[in-house]
Amino acid sequence: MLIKFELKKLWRSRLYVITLILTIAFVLGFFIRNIVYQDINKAEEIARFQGYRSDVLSQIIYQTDLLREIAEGVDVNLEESLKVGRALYHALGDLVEARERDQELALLQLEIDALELAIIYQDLDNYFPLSLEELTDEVEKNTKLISVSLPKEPEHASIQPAVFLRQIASFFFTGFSFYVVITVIGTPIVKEYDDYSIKLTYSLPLSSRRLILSKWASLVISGAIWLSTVICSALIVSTLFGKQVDQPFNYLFRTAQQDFIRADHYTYQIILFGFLFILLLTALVVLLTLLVKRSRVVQLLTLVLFLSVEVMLRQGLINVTFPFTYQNLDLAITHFAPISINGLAMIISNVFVILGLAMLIDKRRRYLC
Amino acid sequence: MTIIHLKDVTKRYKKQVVINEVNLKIERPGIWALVGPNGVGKTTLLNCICNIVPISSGTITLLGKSHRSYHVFKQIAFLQDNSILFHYLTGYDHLKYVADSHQVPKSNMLEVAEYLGMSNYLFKRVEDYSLGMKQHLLVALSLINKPKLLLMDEPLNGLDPTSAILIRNILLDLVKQGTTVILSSHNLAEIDRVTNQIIFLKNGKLFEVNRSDYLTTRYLFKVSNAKKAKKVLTEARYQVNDSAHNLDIEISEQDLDQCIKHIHNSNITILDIQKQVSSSEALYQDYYSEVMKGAH
Repeated sequence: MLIKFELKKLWRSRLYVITLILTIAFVLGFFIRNIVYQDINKAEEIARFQGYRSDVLSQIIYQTDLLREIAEGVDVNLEESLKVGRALYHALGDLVEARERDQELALLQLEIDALELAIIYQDLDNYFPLSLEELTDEVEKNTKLISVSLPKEPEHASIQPAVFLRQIASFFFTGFSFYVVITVIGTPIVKEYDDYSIKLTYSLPLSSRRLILSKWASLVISGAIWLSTVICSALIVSTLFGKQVDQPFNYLFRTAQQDFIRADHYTYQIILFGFLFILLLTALVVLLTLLVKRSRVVQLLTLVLFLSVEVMLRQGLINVTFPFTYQNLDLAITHFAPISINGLAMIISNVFVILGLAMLIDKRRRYLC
Repeated sequence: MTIIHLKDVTKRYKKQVVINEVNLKIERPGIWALVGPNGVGKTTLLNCICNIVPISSGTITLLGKSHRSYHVFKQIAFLQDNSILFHYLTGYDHLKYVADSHQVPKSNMLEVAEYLGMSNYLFKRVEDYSLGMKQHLLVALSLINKPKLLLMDEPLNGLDPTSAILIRNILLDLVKQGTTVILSSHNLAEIDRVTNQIIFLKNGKLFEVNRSDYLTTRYLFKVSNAKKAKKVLTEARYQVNDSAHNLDIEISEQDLDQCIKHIHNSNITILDIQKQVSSSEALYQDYYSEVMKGAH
């Protein structure tokens, strides 16, 4: 009953509905951008392969001239370089051709072949624009993708559901968006103390515990609706209008440990930790509300918290014992992959501690008879 | 059972003492008017009683239970100012919230709204309400749970005479049903119509006054010759105060005919007679004479 009233206040304040609509608009905007980017991406990829090809070709021409100056059989290394260079040149040509024909799955093996040749080519003291680490990394990724029969996607501009969802999650589940959402959903609750409308509630037969829990629950529901809006709109739009592939959630993402996490595991964790982080954030807003009772101060304190955590994360201070690390969900999930049980426990225990503190602070209604 | 018991209640805001070791015991249903100038602490006292504002010291018992117990508020209602309303919600939303909190059926809530003539605007947002409509809503909110104790802070604020009469009748009906009402109001004439029991708040202290103890009937005579009339009546041992052409005479209703005869027999024409009853306003003037001097 109380939760319903709290939700009603939020919905009628319009700002929350506008936030949800804007969220959907942003997701659609990203998707349209990605559709437009498909051709650009293809052209860029072809240009990149052509660039590699030109580099190799110029070295082949130089080495061929050099070989003409010295007799054959004198410099074995040079001959070997030329042999590998020519093979690499042809492999890159095949790669360009496959990309032009959109043979995405074939492209993976062709890229592996080309990059493996590039590794040998570099080993023979020739120049190739990618480092050995980048080359092995790409080979490994392509091998993994072949095993799940999925083509490689540009992670910043894909219309494949799993990859698009990650792009959206990386954009929305960050300190800035969480701050905006928590301000929108938390302000009507804090504002009651600003404008004294809380006096209506305080004159009713409602216990402190019930009051705090219902306010928290309404915040959690509102936050969860926003979280679901982000995830569902990204999934719906990309499933309906995106790239049709079998088992898109078998796609693999790199982790901080240079390992891989499957897209379906990543999605589960986004949902799980996103929800848990909202539990934590809303509990904190309830506590701050009861402590300072001023919406501007609560907004300022949460802003300071988000900014501090952002600075920490940018400095590489990612710590599982500090649950606010999850304000950058993508970073935290790929950092603590496959899954951080400690992170889970830390968030849940912090939620209990914060809510307990909130109940201790608000002693207005005691359980006296 | 004691309905309200305030024992040595003090409320301080930093160093300023607003309520100073106040004691009050109300043991029977009725209407008590809480009176005092602006800023004297009437709303603070009501907020303290309802535990909306925590008291600095003392104890408050309502209907035999601590005012800190939320259970006790099932039988209490507090009509506050319209700042408690959510302007983006409808009147219905507010009523539903209060009815659900008191676990009162929806039918009771709609009955109250209909009785107060709110049906036409019940589903409009409060931001579209006039001052009077908001006041109706506040009254409705305070009546939903049929309270045993009703605290009202300026209930007649912004109401037209028809609504004021309606609210007055509601209050009198509630008292008949055994409700105790603490009514904080600046409308002294309205107070006179509903109660003789007045609580003055002055310098953080409460002064309980029963207006019936001060009820003296006085008649204001307008006569053709005030000087002669005063002489005649003084000789007849009446208590007379004169001013210009008026005679202010303190007599009982039984003596009125006799008094008229005395004036008439002296060939003085009576132009007008007005009955004067000692009012809350007169008592207010007595209690806050220094405040009023300051205002002048």
